[in-house]
Amino acid sequence: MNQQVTFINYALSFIVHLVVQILFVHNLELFGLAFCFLYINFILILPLHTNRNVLLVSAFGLGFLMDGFYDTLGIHAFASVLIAYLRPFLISSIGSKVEITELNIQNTGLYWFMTYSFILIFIHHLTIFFFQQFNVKMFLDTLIRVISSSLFTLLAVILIQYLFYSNTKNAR
Amino acid sequence: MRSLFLLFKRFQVLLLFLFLEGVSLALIFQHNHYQNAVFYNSANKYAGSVLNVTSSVEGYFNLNSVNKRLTQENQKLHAEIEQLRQLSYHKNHKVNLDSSLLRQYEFTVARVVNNTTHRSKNYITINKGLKDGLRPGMGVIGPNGIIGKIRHCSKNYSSIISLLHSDLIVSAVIKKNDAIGRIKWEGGSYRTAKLLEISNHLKIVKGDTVLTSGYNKTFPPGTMIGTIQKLTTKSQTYYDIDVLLSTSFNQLTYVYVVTNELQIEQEAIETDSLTLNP
Repeated sequence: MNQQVTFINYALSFIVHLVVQILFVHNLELFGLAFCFLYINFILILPLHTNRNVLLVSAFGLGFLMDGFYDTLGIHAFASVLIAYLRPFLISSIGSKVEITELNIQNTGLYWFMTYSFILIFIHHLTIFFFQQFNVKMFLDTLIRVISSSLFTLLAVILIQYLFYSNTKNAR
Repeated sequence: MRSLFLLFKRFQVLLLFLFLEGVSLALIFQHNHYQNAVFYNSANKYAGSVLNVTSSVEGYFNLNSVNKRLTQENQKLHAEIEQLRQLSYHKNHKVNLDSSLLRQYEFTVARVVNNTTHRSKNYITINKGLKDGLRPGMGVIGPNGIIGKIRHCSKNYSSIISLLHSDLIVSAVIKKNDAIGRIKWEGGSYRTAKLLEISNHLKIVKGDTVLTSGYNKTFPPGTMIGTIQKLTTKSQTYYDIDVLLSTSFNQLTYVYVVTNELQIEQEAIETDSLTLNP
C-alpha cells in the first residue's frame, strides 16, 4: 500500500516536471545565454534509496520526451541517464556531518544541497551543450552558456526547495 | 549458467546504464546523419499540439507588438497592391503578360508554434501541414524577409529549417549591381549571416540591400534578405561580407509558406537537360 502511494506520488512528480518544463520554462532564456532545464529537478529529488534501475529508466523516459520538444533526438536522454547513474556515487562521496535521509534542503542543509545539485546540473548541461554544438571554434562561447545556464537552473531548483519544502517538515 | 546469471545480476545497473546510453547515442547520430528519415521531432502530432497550446498562451503576452507589426505589414501590402494596379494598367494597354507567370507564387499563412535561435542548427515549427497543401521543400518567408525551408510535414504541422541552420544555403543577389552570391549562416549571432562568393572587384558599400536571386526555386526572386553590415577583403578574390538579416528570428509569430506553381515544371526541365547533356 505504502509503496503504491509513493509510486503514484513520483509518477505525478514526473508529469508535473514535464508539464512545467514544456509550458513555462521551455522558451525561457536570459540574454540569449542562459537556459533553464528545470525538469532534471525530478532526478535530483527522487528519494534517496530509489531502485537504481527505476532511476535510470525514468531519467531516460523524461529525457526522451524532452528531446521530442527540443528537436534534439537522444541528447537530453543521454544527459539525463548520465546524471541518474552518477547520482548515488555523488551522494556517497560528498559526505556530510549529519546523516542524510531525504534529499531536500530541510534535511541536508543549503550548502550540501547546492553542492550536490550544482555538480549534477553542470554535468547535465555540459553534455547537452557540447552535443548540440559539436564545434571546437565555439568552445568558449559554449562554455559560457553552460556555466550561465547551470547557475540559472540551480537558482530555480533552490527556489523550488524554499517554496515547497522549507516550512513543513514532511511536505509532499 | 548460474554464475552467468549472478554476474549479470551483479552488474545489472551498469549494464542497464550502458544500454540506455547506447540507445541515446544511436539516436543522436542517426538524427544527425539521416535527418530526412526522422519520425520523432517537434512536427509530430503530439509534440505539435502541445507546443500549439504553449504558443497560444504566450500569444496573449505579445498581442500588442503583433498588432503593430500586422498593421505595418497591411500598410506595406496596400502600397504594393496599388503599385501593381498601376503597373497592370499600363501593361494591359501594351503587352499581354503570361497569366501562369502572374500567378506563379501562392502564399499560405501559418502561425509559428516553436522556434529556436541559439543552436547551431535551428528549427521552426508551424501549425500548417500536409492537410493545407504544404510539402517538404517549400520556402517560408515573413513580413520582413526570408525565413527558411520546410523539411518535414505531418498532417497538421511542419518543421522548417531556419536560415539559421548550417545546412541551408540560399542564392542571393545584391540589388544595386546584380552580383550573385550565396547566403550562409555560420553560427554566432542570430542577427547576421555571411554572403559568400562576391568578387572583390565589384563596388559595394555598407548598407547595400541583399535580395534572393532568380536562380532558386524555393523563394520568389527579389525577396528581402538583409543589408550589408560589414565588409572586408581578406582573400584575394572574394569579399568577406556580413549581412544584417532583415527578419528578427527571435520574434516570429506569423509566416507565409510559398507555393511555387511552376517548381515541378522547372525541376523537370532541369533534370531533362541534365540527362540529355550530362
